[in-house]
Amino acid sequence: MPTNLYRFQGPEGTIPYQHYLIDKNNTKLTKIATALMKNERCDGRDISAHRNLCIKTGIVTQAKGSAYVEKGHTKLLCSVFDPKEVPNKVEYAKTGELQCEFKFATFSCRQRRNYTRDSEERQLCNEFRRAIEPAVCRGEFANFEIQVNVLVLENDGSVLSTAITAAGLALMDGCIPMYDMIVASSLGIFKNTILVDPTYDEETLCLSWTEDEENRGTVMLAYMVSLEQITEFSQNGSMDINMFPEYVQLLIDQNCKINKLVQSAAITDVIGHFESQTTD
Amino acid sequence: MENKIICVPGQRLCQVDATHTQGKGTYKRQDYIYSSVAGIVNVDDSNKISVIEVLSKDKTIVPAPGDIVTAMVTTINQDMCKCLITSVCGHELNETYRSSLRKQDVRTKEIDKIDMLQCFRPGDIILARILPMTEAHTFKLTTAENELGVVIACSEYGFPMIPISWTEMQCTKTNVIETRKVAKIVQEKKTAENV
Amino acid sequence: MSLVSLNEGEKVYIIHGVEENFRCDGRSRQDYRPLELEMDIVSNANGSARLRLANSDILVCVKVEIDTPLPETPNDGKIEYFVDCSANATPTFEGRGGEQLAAELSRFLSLAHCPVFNLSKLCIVSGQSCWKLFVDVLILECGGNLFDAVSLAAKAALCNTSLPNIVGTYEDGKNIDLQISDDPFDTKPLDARDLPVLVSLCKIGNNYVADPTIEEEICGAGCIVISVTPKGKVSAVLKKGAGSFMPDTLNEIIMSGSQIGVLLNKALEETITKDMSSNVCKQRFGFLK
Repeated sequence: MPTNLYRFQGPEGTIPYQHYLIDKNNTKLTKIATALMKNERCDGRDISAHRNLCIKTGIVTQAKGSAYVEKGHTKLLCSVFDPKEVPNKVEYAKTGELQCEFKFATFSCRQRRNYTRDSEERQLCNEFRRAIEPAVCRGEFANFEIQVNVLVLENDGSVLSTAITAAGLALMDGCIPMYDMIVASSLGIFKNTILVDPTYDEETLCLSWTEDEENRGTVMLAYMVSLEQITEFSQNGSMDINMFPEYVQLLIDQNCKINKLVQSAAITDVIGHFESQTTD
Repeated sequence: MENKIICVPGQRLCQVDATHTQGKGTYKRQDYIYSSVAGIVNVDDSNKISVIEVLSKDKTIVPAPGDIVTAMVTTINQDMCKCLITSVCGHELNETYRSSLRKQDVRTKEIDKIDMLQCFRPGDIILARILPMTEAHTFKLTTAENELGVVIACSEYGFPMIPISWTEMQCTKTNVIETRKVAKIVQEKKTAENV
Repeated sequence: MSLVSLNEGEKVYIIHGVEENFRCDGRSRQDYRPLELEMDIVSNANGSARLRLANSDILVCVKVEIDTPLPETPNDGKIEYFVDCSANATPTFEGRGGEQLAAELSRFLSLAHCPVFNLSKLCIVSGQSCWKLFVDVLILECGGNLFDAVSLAAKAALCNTSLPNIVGTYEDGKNIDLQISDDPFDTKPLDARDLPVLVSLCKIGNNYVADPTIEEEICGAGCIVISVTPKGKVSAVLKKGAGSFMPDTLNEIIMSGSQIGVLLNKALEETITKDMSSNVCKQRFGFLK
């Protein structure tokens, strides 16, 4: 593992103190689980309700386009930069490339994260790139690459889907040609109960190992609403095959809801811009 | 603002037919025109055919073959000079792109007699046209047109120069005459330059 | 991913073949290429398997070591996957070329196994010591469809793995001394029959094919990898490539993927059982074949 000597790494092999709390970590999950059995969620939401979404575009002045999205306690920042030349490239490519970086801030999770990229970040980065790639008109910037960066400031579940939604907004804000707006949402499944937009604890609960045969896990789907295309689908856990059509339909419905919010944010953005232009 | 149509990417705008065609900020899919950026829909009826385009707040422009670009000469040698493209068709870029101008593309006449050092100097601002892409991935430029060539240059002593003929420029302070491949600036190009 | 390049004519040929349900190598859309599996071929490993899927050659070795469990999961053992894309497989893997693929493979393998594999089986003394499995995957030759091949080989290797028997533990204050049987054959097999296998389905035109070759992967608009357990449950899904899918197509792909996965699991199960029962007079092939 490469280390950066200029940065303080912290002692090796530290353990978050939360594991030694008298009220052990597990009781928190059991509490959520028992509440879920009664179809209640710890934050008082309905099981099919999304957390409130806060969207702001154009907040990074140096970037071509940027967006800040807040979904409950999940907070992240996405920025898009101008097309630039691909370094060390010999062949001519007809389609442009997307260069993505997905980074958790060191303080974003319960356990401190390292500066170097870990395997989870790489995996999320791959999924993130695949989700937004089909939406961007890559033929319009042939032989160039566009850098899309995501920085997670706070992780409270459904990070990837929030990041994809933010990327759609950032690309729109940067006026990068796109075939469609892109939105994503996620589900958590625990003992056959479907939770829309799970929090971090709910995600942990859904992915924890159990003996029984009931469905559990998480599903994430990125969608282009007007083109009706799924750009990325990922699932983890243990689920019955016959449940998939239901999950997919539910996620698409959720995405349509988010798309309305995203579109209205985009329209206010455009109005704001052109009004300020006319007053100049 | 009231009568304008605002659109977001992926919105279907109209059908492609004999009287409607796609313009900037749109793409065509299955006989329909869709918008690819967020902005205001504009219908350009100035020609016979109405062009549907979307005006966005900012444009993503990458240099394409055939475009007239403004570039700055960075390094120069006997065979070619290297330039940085700073704006395309009057639209300023946030990112600069590398490009090169070969000796044979400087002018149309007497190609074998060209001396690169007599045509350009590092720091000169030139107008040039992008040549079709080859397998090499940097842009190739040409100044083989009357309207293309050096537009802004400074003399050896660091003072701005003004063109006196198509091969010479004179320093405004020291009156020294230096040779350049000077662009014949027409009014239209000048406005492009000022943007 | 590899040096294969196709011209338009070749692509059209493949796409039309898929449409007619008759692929270049004579298979139908749902067919797999021939598989060869050999187990227990590396003597220094606790479990090993070599799998050949047409031209893809995968060697998986499992090594077992003792470690202390994580404080948040004191009753669980550990399992770690490492995929090495050898430059022998294809020149594009040279240097750091195979790194991204390797990272993706190992990460997805652990994601797929994690919800199914009961880690508490690897516990020795709660909170003190546990087994740690190192699953090392070596790609010797690359002939397309690495995800399926790697997962089959990994499952076979884990089924082949046996943990040494622990004879006794001595507590000395806080330290725990483990005594492990001297007899190398005094072991207990690791139960890994529930593990999933991965099924890749590549979308070509309006159809999808199982077990795509490199050429078909290039023609395809996108690939869905589904991890299917023997009971037909899905433990992970991943999308590869830059394409997008219609919702109905996606559902259809997942459905048929799980059916193929169940059959594949069954075939693997039978092979493993046969291999274990005929342990006495087994003919060894090794890498020379």
